Amino acid sequence: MLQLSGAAFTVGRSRFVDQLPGWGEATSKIYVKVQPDEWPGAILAQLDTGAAWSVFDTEIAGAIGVLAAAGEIVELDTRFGRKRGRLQRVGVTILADEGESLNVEATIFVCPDWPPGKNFLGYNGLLERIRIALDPPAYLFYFGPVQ
Amino acid sequence: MAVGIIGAFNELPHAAEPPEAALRLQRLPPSSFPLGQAGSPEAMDSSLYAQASLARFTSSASAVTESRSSLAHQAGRVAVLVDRTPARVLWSSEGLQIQIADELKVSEVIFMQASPEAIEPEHFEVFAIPGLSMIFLQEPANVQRPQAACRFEGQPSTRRTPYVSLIRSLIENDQISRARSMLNALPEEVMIQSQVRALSRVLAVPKVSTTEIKDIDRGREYQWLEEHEYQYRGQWVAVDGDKLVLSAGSLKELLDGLKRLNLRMRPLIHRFG
Repeated sequence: MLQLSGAAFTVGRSRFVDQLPGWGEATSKIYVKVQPDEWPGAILAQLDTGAAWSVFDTEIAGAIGVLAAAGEIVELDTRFGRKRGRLQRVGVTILADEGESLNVEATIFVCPDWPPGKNFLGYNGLLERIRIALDPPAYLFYFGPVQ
Repeated sequence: MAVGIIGAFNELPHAAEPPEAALRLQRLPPSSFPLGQAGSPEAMDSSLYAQASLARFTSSASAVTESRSSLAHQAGRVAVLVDRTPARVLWSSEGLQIQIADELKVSEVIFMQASPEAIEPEHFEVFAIPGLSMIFLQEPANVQRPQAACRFEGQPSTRRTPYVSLIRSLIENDQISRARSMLNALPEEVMIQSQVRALSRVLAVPKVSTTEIKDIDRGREYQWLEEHEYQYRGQWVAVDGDKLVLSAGSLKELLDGLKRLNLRMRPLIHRFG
C-alpha cells in the first residue's frame, strides 16, 4: 500500500470505473465499491468530494432500514435542487480488492425523493476522515483511515 | 430606531439602508410563516426560545443575495444578517462565540426580549430572499421599538438562545465545521437535550476502522455491466464474475431472490438507468 514519509498512507485499494454502466453520463467520474451495513453485496458509488453529504438510492436506503428511521431533518442544496431529508448515522464499508477494507461509521443524507441510481460518497460525515489517492491509468483507488 | 448593540459591534458604523430594490427581496405576508406548527422543526424548537434575536442589515445586499455566507433563520423568526467587510467579527450570544464568517461582519444586531409569538407582525416587515430560503424581519422605519426591546443592551443575561435552530441553519448552509464548533461550545445543560444529542450524533466526525470484510477485483462484473446495459434497462441486477445471478424490476424483488439463493459469494448489485 502507499506510504508517506515511511508511514502507511493507505491500507487498501480497489478497482474503480469512470462510467456508471447504464446511465449514459457525459463525463467521466470516479465510481468505487462500497457496502452499506445490512446490505448483501457491493454497490458502486460516486466519489464526490464536492458533495456535502453521502446519499444512496432511495430503494437502497429503504433496504438498509434508514428511509423510515428517525433522524435530523434538514433541507440541503444538492445537485438535484433543494432537497428535504434526514441526516442519519449509518455503517458503510469501503471495499478493498487488496489490503484492508474500511468500515466507516458515517453520516448520510437520506432523501425520499432522491433520483434513482445515484449513490454518492460526500465529504462531510464520510470522506473527511479518509485518505484517498487515485491511479487513473490503472483505475485504482487507494484509501486509508486518517490517523 | 431603538437598538441594542452588543460587544464587538459597538464601534461598527451605522451604514445607510439600501433601497429595497437593490436587496432583491420579496415581501411576504407575515402569515406565510406561522410559528410552531405541529410536527414542524419550528415546533420542536419552540421551547428553546425565550427570546428572539433580530437583526437588520444595512449595507450592500450583495453579500446576502450573492453568497451563502449569511446566516438567517426561519425557525423562531431569528435572523442574523450580515454585511461584507474584510474585518473578522464574532457574534457573541449568551457567552457563546459564534464565528459568522471571516469575511463578514454583522452590521447591527437587535436583541428583543420576547417569545417568537410575541413578535407582533405589524411591527415588522417579513421578507424572503429568493433562492436562499432565508427569511428575516425588518423593522419599518416608522415603528418605535418599545423600551423592553433594549433591555439587554450590552448586558445579555438570562435570555436563552435557539441553539438547535442555529446549528441546523449552519448545516443547511453547509457550514459543518462551524456547526460542530457551536455544538462543542454548548453549555452542559443544553447538551443533554434530546435534540442537541441527535445533532451531536449526526455531526460527529466519522469513525473509521479497518475490517475483515474483503472483496475481490470486480473487473469481470464491470465488463458484464458494460456489455448488458441495454438489455437490462431500468432493472436491478446482481452479478457475480461474468455471470448474471439475478435481475428484477425492483430492489425488494432482487433481494428476496438473493436471499432464497443463499449465495456463498456476495454479488455486485447495480441499478441500470
